[in-house]
Amino acid sequence: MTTQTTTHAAGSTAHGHGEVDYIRENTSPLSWIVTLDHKRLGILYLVSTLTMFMVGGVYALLIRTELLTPGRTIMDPDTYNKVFTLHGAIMVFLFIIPSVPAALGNFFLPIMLGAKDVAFPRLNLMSFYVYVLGAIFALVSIFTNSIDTGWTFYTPYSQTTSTATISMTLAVFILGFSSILTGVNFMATVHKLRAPGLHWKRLPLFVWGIYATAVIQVLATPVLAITLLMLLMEKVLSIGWFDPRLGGDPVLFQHFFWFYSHPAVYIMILPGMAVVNEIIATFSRRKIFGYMFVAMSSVALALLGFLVWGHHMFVAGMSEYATMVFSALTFFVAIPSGVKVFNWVATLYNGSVSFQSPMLYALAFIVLFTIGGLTGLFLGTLSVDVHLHDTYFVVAHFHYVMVGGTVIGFIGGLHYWWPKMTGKMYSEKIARIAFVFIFIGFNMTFLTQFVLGSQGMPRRYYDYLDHFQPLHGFSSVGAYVLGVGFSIMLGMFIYSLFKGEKAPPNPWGSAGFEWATSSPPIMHNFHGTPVIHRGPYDYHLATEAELFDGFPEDLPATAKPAAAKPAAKQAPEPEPAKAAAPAPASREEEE
Amino acid sequence: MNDQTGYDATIQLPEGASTLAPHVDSLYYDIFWISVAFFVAIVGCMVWFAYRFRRRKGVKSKPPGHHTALELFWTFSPLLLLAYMFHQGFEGYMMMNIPPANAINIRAEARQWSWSFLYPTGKVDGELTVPIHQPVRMIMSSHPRGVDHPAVLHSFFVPALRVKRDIVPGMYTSLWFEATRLGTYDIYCAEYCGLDPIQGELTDQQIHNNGRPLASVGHSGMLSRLHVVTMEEYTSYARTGRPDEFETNAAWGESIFNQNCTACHVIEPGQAPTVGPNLSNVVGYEQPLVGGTGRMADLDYLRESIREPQAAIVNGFENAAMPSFGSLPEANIDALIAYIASRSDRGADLVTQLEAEPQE
Repeated sequence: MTTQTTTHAAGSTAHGHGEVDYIRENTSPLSWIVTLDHKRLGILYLVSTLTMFMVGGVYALLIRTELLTPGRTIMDPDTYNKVFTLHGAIMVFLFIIPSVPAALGNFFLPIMLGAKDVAFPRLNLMSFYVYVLGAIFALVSIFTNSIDTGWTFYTPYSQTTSTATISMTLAVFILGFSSILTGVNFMATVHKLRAPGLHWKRLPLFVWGIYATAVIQVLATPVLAITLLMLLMEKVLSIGWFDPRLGGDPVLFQHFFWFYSHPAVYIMILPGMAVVNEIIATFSRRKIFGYMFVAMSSVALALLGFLVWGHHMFVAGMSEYATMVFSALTFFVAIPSGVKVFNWVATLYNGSVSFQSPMLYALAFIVLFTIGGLTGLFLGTLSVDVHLHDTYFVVAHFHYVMVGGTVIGFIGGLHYWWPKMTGKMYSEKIARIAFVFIFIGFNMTFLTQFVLGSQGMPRRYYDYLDHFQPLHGFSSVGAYVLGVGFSIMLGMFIYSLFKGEKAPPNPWGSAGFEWATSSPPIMHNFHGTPVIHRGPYDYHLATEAELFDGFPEDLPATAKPAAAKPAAKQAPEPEPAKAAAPAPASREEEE
Repeated sequence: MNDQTGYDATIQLPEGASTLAPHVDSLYYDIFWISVAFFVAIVGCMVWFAYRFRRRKGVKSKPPGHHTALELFWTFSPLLLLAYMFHQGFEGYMMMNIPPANAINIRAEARQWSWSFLYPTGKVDGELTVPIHQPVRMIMSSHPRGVDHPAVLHSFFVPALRVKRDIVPGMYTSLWFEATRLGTYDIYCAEYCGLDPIQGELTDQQIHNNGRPLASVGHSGMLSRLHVVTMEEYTSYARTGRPDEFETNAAWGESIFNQNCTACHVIEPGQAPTVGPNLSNVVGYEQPLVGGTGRMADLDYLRESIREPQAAIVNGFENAAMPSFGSLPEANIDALIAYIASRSDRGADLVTQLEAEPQE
């Protein structure tokens, strides 16, 4: 908890009831549209990414419905090619990439740092509107003449098809800038705006994860922008980069594309892992085991992510020695991934584990990400990859990582922080029902696809040979179960907004800093500048008052902080005795 | 010589029909069991810890532990297993990429959305036939389907052989295999190669027939078959000119038709056309063409339609996008036409004429 010690006492009494939360501060629509507040921008991102998630989800259900039976089920091959392309493009560029960093990251990164806002609030607003502009371009290309190239835009097909490749690549180009701006902003914020006492070894692991993500966003996204510009130049000006008829090389495009898109995989998964760290620590009341190893594994993944793009191209016609190097480097990715999983499991040991819905999602993340990671071993192994490449095995593998990992982490985080963001509780019972649907539906859908793929079913097929039908049918039924789960979850959240019970500041009894402020947080996050005395997971140093999961006024008298520091109205206070805690507030560490 | 060493499909992997399959499969199962062991250990510990240390009244979590030796152990010890997988995988990959010196070369041409296989003898076929226990090297290239349809990426994939290689416009790629089991296996295109953007409405028969997708659905219909036969059968097959087992050109033509044409054409009277026209009772009849003109279906028109399908298209099939079969040897085209003529009540004269023509 950002233990607001002396400053807090003064601030709290001075402002008294004048301090309202960020939602009620100004309720006019205009105040939302031009807001510079990171929390409001986080909410705006949350609403937009969830909308895109629903659109992409509908496309996913259309795909699975078409594949229910061989031959035509509900749509033409042409429509199918557009639908699977849009499913991929929307989910990757408009949902997963911005989901955790832009929505949850915007909201919680500054609060966890004890800052009032991000380093550049106006830039933050701008990157949101750049995102909106990109989304509009994408939607326009969907509604005018959608693309059918797959989300990878592989040349030469993307140069020959008459559909709206230009507007879609422009959309992705623009979205990339949103990503870059957010990344720069977060890096500056982490470096410059940490509260006194919050040195690097005390940073919440969520911040470490988002920070590593920001580094990749800033370094890798420009390459995507360059690639898409080259694609546009070739299409519009006939400059031969990738088209062999103009002297170009189609494989060059794949190098360029994956040079961005592989690091992008880590842009997608690191934030999911970052969320899981917070949830596991809170619900096992224990510091993440091997904190520094976990933090550094995020950085290691971010760096390794730049060196393994070639593993998407083992059968594309690269030299044998290039494939050898890429295969070897790919196996190194398993090390930091394994470190994370091992440390999460070890954190449970000697913990005090409770199983509310956020924790269910975090545990599901471990299970699903482990499957996603282990199946990556098959694909990193050269000779086995030759058989599995471009089959449903790959589809299943990345859905286990991206959905089983990132999306499960994201909605776990949504359950975890929902009370903080909205000030409302949701129905735990319904949350668990939705969880069961999602977990079972997801595994039905994608575990099946591993078998489809290893049996030789290629991906991006509108139609298939009859003998694949039973597995495809089962997978589609799983997708419906998954869809039902997500719908229940969505309904539950919407109901909670209107009818949910009021949330206490710290409903899960967490020692994390973001729970120290009210729910929802006040406009400036904290009264005055908080001074940090301990790490975010130091349950042994946190007081009973800090960990109290009810409303402050219900705090048992025995746990009330001593009279010397009476201002425990806004947030639970540290005990005065805690001043003797091992790590005194200090500014001697570099800020 | 023909002792087969292939094996049947398991739940996870399709039947194995090449010398590469045992390598790939044993490594696959090695990784599978390593993964199962890790999964059981991780999830088992997770469930056990979560239950054993579940929250109970009055029991607090213990202060954070720290165990550098343990951290270092699980950071670095997996490297051993990873090194094993990498090494085995690379070894197999090199084996897949270095064809034996005695391999025969077969060319594969990929187009949107069909395959042509060119044999050393000059024979051309839409399906691939190879001898068992003989290394075969495929040299593959991608070709345009027409002026408006330049060459795109494809990928040659035969699950039973455990081989796959992209086919890239502007370069030759190759792979090799040695089949170890007689039989017929599926060939897929594994790299997305799209669809005709001007494709019109398709009927269900134009999409899926006899349990297989048809070429009119684009990428997923770009299928072919691999026939693994004995060396004797292969030698007789790869010979150009009429093989001995066919008494007449029309009978030979039927076999060529079944291998090259049935993905898009039916040839039974009264049957609804699939992608292209129904070819029964065509020869000897005036055909209505796109643009309102008509043309008698005679020897010239049939030859032209096989070599240059877009030159004169029958009304209603302007979107069928048939690829050229001009690379078929002359004798094969004659046999094909003889067969098509034999399926028309007005084709008897043409059949007689073609049977009389000397082979080769």
